Amino acid sequence: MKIRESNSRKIFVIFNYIFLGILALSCILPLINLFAISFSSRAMVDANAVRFWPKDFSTAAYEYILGNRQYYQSFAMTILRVVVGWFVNLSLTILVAYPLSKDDPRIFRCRRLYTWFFLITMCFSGGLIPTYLVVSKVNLVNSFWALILPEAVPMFCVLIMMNFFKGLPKVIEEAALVDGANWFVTMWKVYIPLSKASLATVSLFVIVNHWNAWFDGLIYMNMPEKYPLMTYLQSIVLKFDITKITSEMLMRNPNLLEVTGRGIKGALILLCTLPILLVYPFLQKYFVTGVVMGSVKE
Amino acid sequence: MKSKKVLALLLTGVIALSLSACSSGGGTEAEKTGDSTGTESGSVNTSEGDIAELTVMHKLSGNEKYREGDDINNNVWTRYYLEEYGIKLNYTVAAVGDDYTQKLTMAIASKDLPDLIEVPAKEFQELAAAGMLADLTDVYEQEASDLLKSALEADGGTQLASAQIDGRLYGIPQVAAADSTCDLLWIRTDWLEKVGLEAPTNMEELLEVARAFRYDDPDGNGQDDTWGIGFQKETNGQDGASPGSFEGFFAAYGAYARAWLPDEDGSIAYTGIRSGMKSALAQLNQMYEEGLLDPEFGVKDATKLSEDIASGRVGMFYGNEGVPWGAAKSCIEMNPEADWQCYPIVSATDDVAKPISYVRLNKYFVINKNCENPEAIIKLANAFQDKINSLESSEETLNTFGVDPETGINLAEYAAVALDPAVQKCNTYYAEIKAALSGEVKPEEIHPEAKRYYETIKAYLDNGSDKTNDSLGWNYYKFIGPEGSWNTIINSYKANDILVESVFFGASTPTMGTKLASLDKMQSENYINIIMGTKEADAFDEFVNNWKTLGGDEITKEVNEWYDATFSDIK
Amino acid sequence: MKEKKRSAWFKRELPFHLMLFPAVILTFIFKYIPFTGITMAFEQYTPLKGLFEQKWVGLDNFIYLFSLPGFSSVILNTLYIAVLKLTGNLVFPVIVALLINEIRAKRYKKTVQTVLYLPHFISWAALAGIFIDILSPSGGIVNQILQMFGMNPVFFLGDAKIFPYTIVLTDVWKELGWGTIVYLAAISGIDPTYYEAAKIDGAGRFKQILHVTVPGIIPIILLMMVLSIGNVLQAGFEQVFNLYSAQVYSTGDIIDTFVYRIGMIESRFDLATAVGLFKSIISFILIILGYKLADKVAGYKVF
Repeated sequence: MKIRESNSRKIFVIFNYIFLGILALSCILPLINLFAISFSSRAMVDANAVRFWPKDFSTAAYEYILGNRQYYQSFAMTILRVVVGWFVNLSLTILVAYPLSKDDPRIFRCRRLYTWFFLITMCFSGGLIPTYLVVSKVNLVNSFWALILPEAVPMFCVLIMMNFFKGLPKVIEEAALVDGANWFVTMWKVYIPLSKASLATVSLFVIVNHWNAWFDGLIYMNMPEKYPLMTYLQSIVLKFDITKITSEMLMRNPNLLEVTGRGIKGALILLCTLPILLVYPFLQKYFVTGVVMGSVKE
Repeated sequence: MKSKKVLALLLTGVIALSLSACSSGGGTEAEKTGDSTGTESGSVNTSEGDIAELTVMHKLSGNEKYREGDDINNNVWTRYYLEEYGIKLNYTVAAVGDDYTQKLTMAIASKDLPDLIEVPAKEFQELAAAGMLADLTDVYEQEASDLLKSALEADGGTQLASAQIDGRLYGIPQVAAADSTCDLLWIRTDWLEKVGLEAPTNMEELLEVARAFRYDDPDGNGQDDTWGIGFQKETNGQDGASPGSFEGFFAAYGAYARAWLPDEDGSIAYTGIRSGMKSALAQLNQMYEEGLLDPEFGVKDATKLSEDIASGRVGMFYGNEGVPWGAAKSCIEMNPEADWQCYPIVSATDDVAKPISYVRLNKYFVINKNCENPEAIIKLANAFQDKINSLESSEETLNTFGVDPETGINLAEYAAVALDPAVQKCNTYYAEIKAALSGEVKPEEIHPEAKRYYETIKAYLDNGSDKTNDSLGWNYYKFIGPEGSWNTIINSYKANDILVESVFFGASTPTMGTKLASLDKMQSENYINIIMGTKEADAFDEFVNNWKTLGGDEITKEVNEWYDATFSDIK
Repeated sequence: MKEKKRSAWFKRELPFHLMLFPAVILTFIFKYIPFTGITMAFEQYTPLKGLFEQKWVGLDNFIYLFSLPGFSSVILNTLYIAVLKLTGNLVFPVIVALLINEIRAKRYKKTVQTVLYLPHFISWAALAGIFIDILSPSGGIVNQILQMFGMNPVFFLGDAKIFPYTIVLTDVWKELGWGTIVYLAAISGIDPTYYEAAKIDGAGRFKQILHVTVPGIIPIILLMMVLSIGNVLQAGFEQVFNLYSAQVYSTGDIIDTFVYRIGMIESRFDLATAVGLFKSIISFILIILGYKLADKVAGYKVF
């Protein structure tokens, strides 16, 4: 009986390793394919001869993108929104989560009211166009702040933080209050230092969110120079339609078809995604704990 | 307990009130002071040195490249406008493709239209009808240079007429050269040699060539990997499908997939339902059954077909004059022995085959009614004509305002109000280059832009027509050289007056808006089904009936109304 | 006495109100004020007229929408895609989590997990570009592999019949690694003594998984299932918007993409808002349902 078990078990283990290996590969291979295409010549790509290694090595695609000021402008815009957004989102998350975590009605009577106030926004929305009109009326269209303010209070993060705060032992708080500290000081000097893990998680979510956001840039920014990186990517990679090129355009600009090819698109995708792909493996432990915190309760 | 609740409510109420006061106040403030996108801000400070400031909304192509330190608001063109005409441009919105449509929609919704706007045909009609555009009739008469007028009216004024309402002009159409972008027959000459055939002059011969290409191993590799003739999947798509278009083939039977042409009785009718189309489709079905067509053509778009062409699987197809730049070029780079040549389309009947061309007018330049300097638009248009399209332009001008040969940057890409003549410049260039090559005319005497192309071609020829090393030269040679696309268009099509132009263009008619999509889909499905044999050729008659009753007749009526209304003045 | 109490109370709670103040203002401006735009759903909106000069048409917009031939398919598409996604995003991560749990080699396990998380971090703007390339019927790697096995190329993104499944599968693939986090955490939280007991009873590894692991994570599975009910109308705008095209509208057009086109491109704000309102109401009911169920089933209070 033992021998049979270990045989079928062995087979299973082997299959398991292979299966998961293939699954993992499937997550990397597309990027490798794109990498190869981005470093191949246009003729090779057009004739579909490129698999996982560049053919007819050429850096033309990268030269085109990196020679274009737009890439740097968008990159800077994204960095800016990530930094400012991180600060704004994190501050507001703490400022909202802390009061709302006081579930003892004697401490904060209006808590339920505020909670409902915020939660309704998670379920209902005025819609795309009314929101746009509001942003336009407060003069934020084409302004950097349109990328920060409308979604300044990330409710999902608030919930995570709130649950975390609730889980902290109340005695710490009571001790601080007895010592004469007010709520601000308690929050700042007591709760926050204890929440490092949770803050890291929230930070991660916020940063990834801002890095990957593209739709708000699309509708609120009127000039491509102001597009954040992902919006720039989206507008170039997914929009440009080769069939709309006229021969007048070609005659004036013989390199036109060269630069709209798959090579450029591949290179741009890689250039926009690589930063975050290089960073996330190091932050794994934070988001693992974070996701767990937000969903699994003891 | 109660008092806390009341206080809480009051607090929220106070916040709410103060906020609503804030935001609405903020709103009106913005409108009053006229922010950068406000309509009022485009006001003139004629007192301060006669500078007219215009806010602009511009549709980008996505390919714009700027010099060091330049951007859309600061480049050779904007500086020129300021110096020469005293016009300062302030671009407030610039986007590509659908983005632009979305921003235009939002601008109209939030009443935030700038002074100078580019609008598609539909919005043009809407804005004009709502009285939001400036009447340009007078300023056009007074300010338009002769060059601009000839550019706009080169096609007899049909496209300009579409920008008029009740005889008054409300916009400058970005006229698209309508006398070109028609199908030619492209064939691999090395394959023809291999199978020992001449270029076809009628449908019978074309079928022979197709059979030979399919079954006689024209690439000599001993494998059964070549198709007779290549088609892509769109039978009646809106965007010209090249390579692999059907229009050239349909023309052999006197029909076209989506053109509107005058019938025998003079009224405009849709060509997709002509009887000739039935024969065309039947023939295609026969070719399909014979194996001459790739059975997967129904899922291959133009890009995919280009790959087949580039990798040497297709040696004959219908395509427009721009083919040398795309698939064919990749092909000769991949297969050094390949060479392509274009031929006039062939006919299946005793009548000569007439290639169809479509007007691709889809943009109007308009001026906001509230702008105080409507003549600015004409001046800007003059500038472009003057610098780029004038025969007097020097090489230096072209290098400064057009394509800069050193950096390859196309500076004309971001000129405001850029439009090329309604009749292709290639017509003149071709003649000039030919004359220069044969020595009739000195190169210095032809238009500088033509001279550039002449030089590229001359270099190519002088170096023994080495297409592997000078694929760009081959490009130009096959496009505008003495044997290129334009040679066929001019000396075959135009000389024999067989180029036909579809007469309908511009904004959709009301019924088109609701029904055209499904009618087009029905047409495409029926065509493909007949070609592939899933339906009998007789199903075509049923299709024609359905097309008429499901909206086609109504649309035809509206097209005729539009035609009469728009062109009654010119006809 | 009462006054003293009141001022003390005020002093005590003021800090909370102050902390919440900025968030309240921002939320009010950018979330609540747009609510007034909901009136557009009941008007016949012409963009060129003012906000208050619109014509009130009551429920006409809704009636018009539901009679549009394309609209019912928009709703159906949304439901179909969303339900498939919810199922896929529930089932597959669980299975993969169970499989990962069986790996002994720590480094392999960690590597696989790290790599599996990767797609979650890529924005759909970039990922769509990648998929359009690799799923292309011409040059795409996937079709090339299929052809190596003798199959015909599949038009993943252009064939209306296949498109919804492409959407679901690519989304499942993207969120697979991320989804396993929760389940792996739950699995690791299972008391090892249960396994001991099972082993003593003679259960092999497989039986152990079946009778210990799976029951151990059923609560969390149920929880996730119930929490996702509220999302049954979220078919994934960012993804569909970047992957769809006119030829797959019949099966791929979802509520959010429909709203975007009708609203921002065709400027039919009234219809767009009506649809949005409809979606919000249904989602709201479902979310409340979901949260109440979560409470009953797993004693989980979201807030």
